[in-house]
Amino acid sequence: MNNNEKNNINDFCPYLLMWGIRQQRCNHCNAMVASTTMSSASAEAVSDTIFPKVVEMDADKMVQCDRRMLGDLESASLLAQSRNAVRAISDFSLPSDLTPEVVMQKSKLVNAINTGQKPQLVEELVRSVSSVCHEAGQRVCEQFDLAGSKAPSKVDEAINDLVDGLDGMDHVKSKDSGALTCFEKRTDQLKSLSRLKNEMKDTTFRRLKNQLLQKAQNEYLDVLNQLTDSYFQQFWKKECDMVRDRFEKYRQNSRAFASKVRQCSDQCSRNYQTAKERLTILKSGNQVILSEASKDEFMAALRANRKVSGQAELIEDLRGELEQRLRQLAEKRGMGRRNAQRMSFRALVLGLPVNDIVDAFTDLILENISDACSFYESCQAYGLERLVTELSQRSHITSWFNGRDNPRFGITPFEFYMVRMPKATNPKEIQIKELLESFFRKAGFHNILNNSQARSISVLRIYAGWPIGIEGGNTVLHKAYKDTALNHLPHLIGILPDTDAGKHSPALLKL
Amino acid sequence: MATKNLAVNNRLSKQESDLGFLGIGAGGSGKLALQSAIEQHQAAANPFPFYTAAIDTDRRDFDTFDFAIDIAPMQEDVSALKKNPERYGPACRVIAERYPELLNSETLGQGARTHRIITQAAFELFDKRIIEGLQKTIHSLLEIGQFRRIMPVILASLGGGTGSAAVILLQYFFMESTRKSQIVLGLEPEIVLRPTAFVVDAYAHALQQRDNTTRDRILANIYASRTELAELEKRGMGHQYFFHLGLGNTAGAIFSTIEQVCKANGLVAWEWMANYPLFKSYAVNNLDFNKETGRYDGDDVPENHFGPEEFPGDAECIDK
Repeated sequence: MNNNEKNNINDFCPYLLMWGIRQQRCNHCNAMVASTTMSSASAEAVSDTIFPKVVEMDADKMVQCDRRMLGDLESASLLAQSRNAVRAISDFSLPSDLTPEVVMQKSKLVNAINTGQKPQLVEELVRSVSSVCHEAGQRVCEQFDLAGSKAPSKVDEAINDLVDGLDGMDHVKSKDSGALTCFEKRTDQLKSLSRLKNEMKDTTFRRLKNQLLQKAQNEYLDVLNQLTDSYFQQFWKKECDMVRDRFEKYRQNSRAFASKVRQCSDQCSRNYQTAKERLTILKSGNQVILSEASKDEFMAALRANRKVSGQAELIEDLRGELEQRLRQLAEKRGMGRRNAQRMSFRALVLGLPVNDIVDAFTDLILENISDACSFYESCQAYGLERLVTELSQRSHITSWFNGRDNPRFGITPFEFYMVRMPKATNPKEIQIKELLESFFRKAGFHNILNNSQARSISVLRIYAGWPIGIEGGNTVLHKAYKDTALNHLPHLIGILPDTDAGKHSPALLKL
Repeated sequence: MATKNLAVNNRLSKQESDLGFLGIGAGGSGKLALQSAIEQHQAAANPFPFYTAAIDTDRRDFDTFDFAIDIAPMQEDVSALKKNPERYGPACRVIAERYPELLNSETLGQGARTHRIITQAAFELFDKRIIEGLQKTIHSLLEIGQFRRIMPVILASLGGGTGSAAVILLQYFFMESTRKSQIVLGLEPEIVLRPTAFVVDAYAHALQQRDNTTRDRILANIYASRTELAELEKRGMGHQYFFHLGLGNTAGAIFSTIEQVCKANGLVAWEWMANYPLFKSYAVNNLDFNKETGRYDGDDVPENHFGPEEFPGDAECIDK
């Protein structure tokens, strides 16, 4: 209906089309919102594409992470290392010029150990064996951490292979070769030989002594080996179990990380979807459409801004920057400065809320695409004054009152304007934003808030405090009300005093 | 019941706010507007405590909201009503006795189809369900955040059958002492504030109709709703604020489809809720004062034209 028609209806009816207007409350308001929208959702598209790659950097560059990594836990080699470590203990070591006295001494030592009289020495032996096993386990885990952190998405698969490898490793079987009995016999023989020294030729004695010492030496080493082996078996199994446990913990941690990454990626996708939906919804609504760069243009700006040439380089660079920002965020979230600085990227991702991570990443992208086309630059390209004028006009109210909204008629409506703007992300944007704010102020908008989450400016205009009876639309509505008098039940029962069973009010039809 | 938004809104418990908003989408247009407000709320990272409920005679799209109050009559409800209409309220009695054709089993559960009386009958049939639903939504909202007051915000359209009736009937439920005391049972009664409504004056909906009869019925419904709102206000049961959104303005903003105007209504409502403290700081000395004291003082009222004896005047007829 055009204005002429509205005026005609009003001219035709010299009074307002509702009874009891003087008793109506002035609680009716008209509110209208107008906002800007970008012509595309390119920035969100960039975030959606890049985020998973940045977080799971090098997913396709898995360093060696299979059962070959378990080489350090190879039992024969570890056993040899343990034996050498035990032989290196001074109490167990043999001098180069072995004498029967030394053999006797070692025999006593072995007996003392077997009867539990040398606990400190046993402790030292245990320490040597366990440290060999533990260091090997640590090396495997460190290698694994390194490989796993570079390819988080492949960790599960790698752990399966490694655990299978551990399960398949042959455990060392202790051989009771009777070394101790032989060594004791040899010691007795050496004692007997000493007693017979005067009854045999010197050369014969020396030859026999050397032969016996040689055998005693080998048998002593066998005894030591047997002793080492019994402890080794225990620690090696323990270490294998520990490594297996650590893999399992890593697997759980890795699954939690993967799930968090998935949640963050989903959030990025949702943001992209929301941006696209908002675009569809708002393009058809009360919007001023600002043109925006394409996704490819944004990507090019991102590379240029980060001073990198290729995709892989860009991802690595963004990962570093994101990690730094997450550390700062962790610090703000009360994780402690030192702790936040020491935390791995994985721990940071696991410790922070999804929205914080995604927001940090989105901010990082937005700050770096400003060269392509930032929000405020899009506003500038559209024309700041033009934008303010259009938003101001588009937010005009959708009710009219034919001049009755006037203090002379006892009606003093109240006007409320509010503008919400997104934050500026760089000095250039700050400058444009300040200029835009000044245009809004000039247009009478004094409530300017900087809390818009979306990259859009919204203007809310409220015209409040009028009674429903003076609203201009009543004329055409009342005509339809009268026209439906025969075939419609417009009313609720029991609200108006004179309506019968939902039918029209005779008093209103009279108007 | 749907708890989709509750999970999102749980984050809000961290923040302190004095006021929690209970968004109620009444009817198809109200649900559409509330969906738009939810989208906006989520896109803005849930800046204030907001719990959503839908009430409708049409079950579609209920799962978008935190809570749904289904008032679509089933065949068994209609059978019970037909057998014993005296057990129900005036709308049920009138329908059973005078308009039984409105209880057609083929159209049950598919909205009120511009018959506002069907919604009123549904409110009578499901009186208990509505009260319990409102109770639950208030409890859920209180569980989310630390705030002292709840403001129901009703979103609807005035042209159709459900929203235009529900915006008045819900207001009645919140304001009438017996029902209100049931809704806030066990809580401080002042915890729930007088509701505010955001309604679409459904011109776009009317213009979309191919036949003039339906178009006129929609426009007549808007008018009837307005007169009923005025009646509620006269009795001190009106809304805190009643926001209207029309077809458009002369500056180029035209909502040519019901979807557009409903979404805009949701956006407007959300912007208002998000900035309520700022709005209130201005409104308290202007709007709040004027709405109590300001009265239309022009001479162009029908009472002057027809004479005071024609004026229908006041009558205590609500909920008779």
